[in-house]
Amino acid sequence: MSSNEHSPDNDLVDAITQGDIQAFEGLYDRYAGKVLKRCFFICANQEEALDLMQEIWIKVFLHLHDFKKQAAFSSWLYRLTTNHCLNYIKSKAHSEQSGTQQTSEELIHEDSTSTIDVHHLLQKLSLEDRTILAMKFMGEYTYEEIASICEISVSAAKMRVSRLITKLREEVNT
Amino acid sequence: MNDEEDLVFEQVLDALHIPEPDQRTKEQVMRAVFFLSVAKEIGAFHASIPGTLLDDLISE
Repeated sequence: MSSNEHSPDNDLVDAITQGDIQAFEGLYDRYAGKVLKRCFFICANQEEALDLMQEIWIKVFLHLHDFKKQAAFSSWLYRLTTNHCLNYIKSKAHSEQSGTQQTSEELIHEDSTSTIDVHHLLQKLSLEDRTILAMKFMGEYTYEEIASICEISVSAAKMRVSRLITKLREEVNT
Repeated sequence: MNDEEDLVFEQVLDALHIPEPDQRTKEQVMRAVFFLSVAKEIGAFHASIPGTLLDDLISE
């Protein structure tokens, strides 16, 4: 039995799986903002992030029975979020292969609701950098998994995450 | 996992200044979830109908 079993999140999950739709609203209220931020971090476009967030919540409802409470609900949710956003980025890149590719910087310019802070912060990170950070801190992938996906060594993966965090720390503190 | 690195990442997410999703978005999600739950119920109802009854209906 997991120590997380009787958390408020798990109580909501139990209620939902027993047919209480209002409990789903409770989960949504707790995490919608956090999921949206994570979507935005990966796709760097507010409209796309909002669409992705909606799709993710539908996925949460459809796959809630897969959540086995071995970890915190938030870990499961953020991993689902990471995978959904990365799949979206991958399929988008694939469909744009024959057309004009847009860089994340161009996407941010087009998004009139983005703030200067966002532009400044995300412009300093490539899509690959954001993907690695998302896998590590949102999806809780291990360094071994990141290394395997990115086809780099484990020590290179560790070094890259460490370097990116140093860069982000400087940004946050300026 | 390094807690300090996690903290930095959370600070970055906060620094994005992304507003909370609006009420309309929430209503859309909740409506979709409601329809899906109804669809699930209907699916369960159909699954509970003995196959022979369905065969009879098809042959008619």
